[in-house]
Amino acid sequence: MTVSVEVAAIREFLAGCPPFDELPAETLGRAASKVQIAYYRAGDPSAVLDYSSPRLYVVRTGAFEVRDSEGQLLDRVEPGGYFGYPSLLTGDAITNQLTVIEDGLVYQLDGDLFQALRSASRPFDRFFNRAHANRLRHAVRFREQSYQLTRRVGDIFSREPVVASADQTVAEVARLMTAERVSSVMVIDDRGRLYGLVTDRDLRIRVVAEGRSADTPLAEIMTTDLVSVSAESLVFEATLLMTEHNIHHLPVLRDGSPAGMVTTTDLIKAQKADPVLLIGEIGHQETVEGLQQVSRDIPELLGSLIRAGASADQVGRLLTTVTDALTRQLLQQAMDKLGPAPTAFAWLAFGSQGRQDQAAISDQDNGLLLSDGATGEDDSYFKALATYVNDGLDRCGYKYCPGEVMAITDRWRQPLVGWKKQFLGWINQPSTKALMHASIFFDMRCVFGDKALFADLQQTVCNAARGNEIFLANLTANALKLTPPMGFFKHFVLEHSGEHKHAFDMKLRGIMPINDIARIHALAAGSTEIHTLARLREAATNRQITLKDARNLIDAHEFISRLRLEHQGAMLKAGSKPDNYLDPKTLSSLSRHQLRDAFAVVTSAQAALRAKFTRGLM
Amino acid sequence: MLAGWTYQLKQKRYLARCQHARMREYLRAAAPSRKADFRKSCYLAVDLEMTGMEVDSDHILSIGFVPIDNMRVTLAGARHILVSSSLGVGQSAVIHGIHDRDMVGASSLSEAMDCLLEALQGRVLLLHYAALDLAFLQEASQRLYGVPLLAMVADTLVLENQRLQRNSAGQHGQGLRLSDCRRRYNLPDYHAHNALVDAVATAELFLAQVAHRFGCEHAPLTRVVSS
Repeated sequence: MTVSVEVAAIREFLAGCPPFDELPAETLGRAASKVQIAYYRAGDPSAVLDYSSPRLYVVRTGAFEVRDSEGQLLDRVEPGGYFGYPSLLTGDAITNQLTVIEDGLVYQLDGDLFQALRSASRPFDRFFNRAHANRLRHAVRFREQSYQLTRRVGDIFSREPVVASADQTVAEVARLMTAERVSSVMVIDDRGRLYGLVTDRDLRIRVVAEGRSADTPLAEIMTTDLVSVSAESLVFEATLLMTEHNIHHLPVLRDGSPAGMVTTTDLIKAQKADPVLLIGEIGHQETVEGLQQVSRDIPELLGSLIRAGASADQVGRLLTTVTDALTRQLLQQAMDKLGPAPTAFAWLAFGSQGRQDQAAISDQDNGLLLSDGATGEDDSYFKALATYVNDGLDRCGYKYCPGEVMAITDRWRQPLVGWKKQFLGWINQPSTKALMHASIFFDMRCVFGDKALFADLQQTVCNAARGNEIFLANLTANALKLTPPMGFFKHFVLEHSGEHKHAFDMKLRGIMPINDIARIHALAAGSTEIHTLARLREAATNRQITLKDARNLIDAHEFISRLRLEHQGAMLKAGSKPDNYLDPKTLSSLSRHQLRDAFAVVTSAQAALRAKFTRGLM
Repeated sequence: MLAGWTYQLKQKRYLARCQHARMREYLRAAAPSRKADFRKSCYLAVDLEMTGMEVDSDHILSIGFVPIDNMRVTLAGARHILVSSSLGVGQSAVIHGIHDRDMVGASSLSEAMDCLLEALQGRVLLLHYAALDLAFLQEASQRLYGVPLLAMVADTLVLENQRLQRNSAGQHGQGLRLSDCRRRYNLPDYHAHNALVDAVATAELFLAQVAHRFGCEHAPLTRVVSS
């Protein structure tokens, strides 16, 4: 008897993990019958990769971290994820370290089997090559982000160079500098090579102070003994050069030609683009003006996170952490001014701040939950508190909510009993119309204050929503109104009106539908989870959706969010106001292809949602 | 617990009594070392499906097994053998989902046992609730080979019971069924119910149990086997 047999449970699990789902049935069966299974215990140092024979590890349960030989985190692997493939692909010795975060079972495929599957299936091969490339890219960028010292000059200089030629006059160049709002120009020769530098200081010392005429050619006053750096140089090298030579302007060259200018201001900004420092600074501000000043660095933080290759999820969490810190500091300032709160309260964040997925543009969505004992007199205290915080946030760049969902609005500043009544009204007497603007409230999080008070409200909401078919059907009906523009690729006609006629609203048509799907599943299960990706993972664990669908939706969410971030980063860099509108013409064909895949995932998840929650009710 | 010398004594006695070639080869193989670290031993996780619980009146319907080598469950060595019987499957079809019509192409009990012996040679027999399955295996061995089945046995139910007694405070009334035990280690629920799936489930449970109990501490095989 030599026929191997397969274990259905293992085959089914693999079949739910891309790219195993792409394998022909027979190949998948053969692979499943050759799996080896090991169990790893959290913190067990003996649980290391088998260095003698590289293999593909598929996580069945538990959580693992892969770090490089220097201890740098490369990947966090959860059920359905893989590790061990880089050495299988490259043939290099294993150098990464494995840490067990949570006990778990791991399926293993040996090297021969892995290679056989690669040659049997192109999608399988492509999947792991791409995963490998992604991890490499992630590793490289991750390092740059974490070590301020390893950032390159090319990442931080602010603009294209402003240039002039040596025979132009001082008057001409002074006008040019004023128009371009720069404090220096690079002087180039007729072959476009850097030749000299003229700064504000030169105009003052060598022209005005020495009484030269405005017709003096630049050649007579410019500095020719130049210090410069290449765009590939490290930021700290540039800093050293500038300190050493006591200069404030440093020309940046790319292949010998001027690429831009680094100024001391750029260097200071580059140092500010660190979320930890930024949050530390927020905690020290005693006035709204101080916070307003600090929050000017947020766009720079966003830009540096995007350039550092942080995932959209990481960026969302970081930006939200900053918003939370600003909110808490404003509350603290208000309480210093108004005196301590007369009763217990909780400051609630809704919508994107609640879900921790804020991006470059955020309105305020917040409310105040008061203890049931609050009197009318107490409310005037809280109204003053809310006014201080809402105004403060607006001044820090978080515009007043157009729908007035803010603590300053009486309706959204209520005792517990009032909030419960509000939520139970939405849940128990739902109407599609009433719920239309209510969905953001179901993404609520306590940013400051009495956690027990908040937990009471949250539990009431979860209990009432769990399995409530009519409520879920109404939510679903609303969610299905926003669909991804599948016609996008055919006609490129998107938003039908307004200034963004030919653009696609990435938030409204791409990210929100996924948030809606995640929210409905969480509410159906009575879950208190609010983060979209966590909600999807939980829905897979609860078997509300398949692991494969969850992973596809998570990937789609990350992809569209990342596209939006890059778009917003580019707008910030160009000095314009960021928005959510993507012009399809700006997409590469690869991105367009991936976007189509992402839309298809959302569309099919919406169809499943319709079948599950609206059957017979709508 | 069966000491090393008792095992060797029985080995000799059975060899003297048994003429069956397959069993003689099995008996001649070296037993796993009791003193060596249990991670050095090889195991065979086995599960049986029977028509009922009575050794006298019920019989084996199927045998599933999977080896553990280097503390890894190796599916390539897994087998699922349906055992034919003139008695038919009867009422137990409700539980196992094995119907008489599935038994076409099934092996005889003696073919199935030969196959099991070949796989078990030199390994520790790993069962969940060994008493029941072992009774059926002993009976079959006695009938087919004229001697009982001689094996070192590890029982995941016994290991679990020991663990629950060690951390006894408030642990009373915890289930000891295979699925109950697995849930305590956060192992996945396998919904299908057949001898092979349960053998794999037992093997995984064993890996989890010893990882929790011993970590990387050295432990001789005697601390793991119950007979």
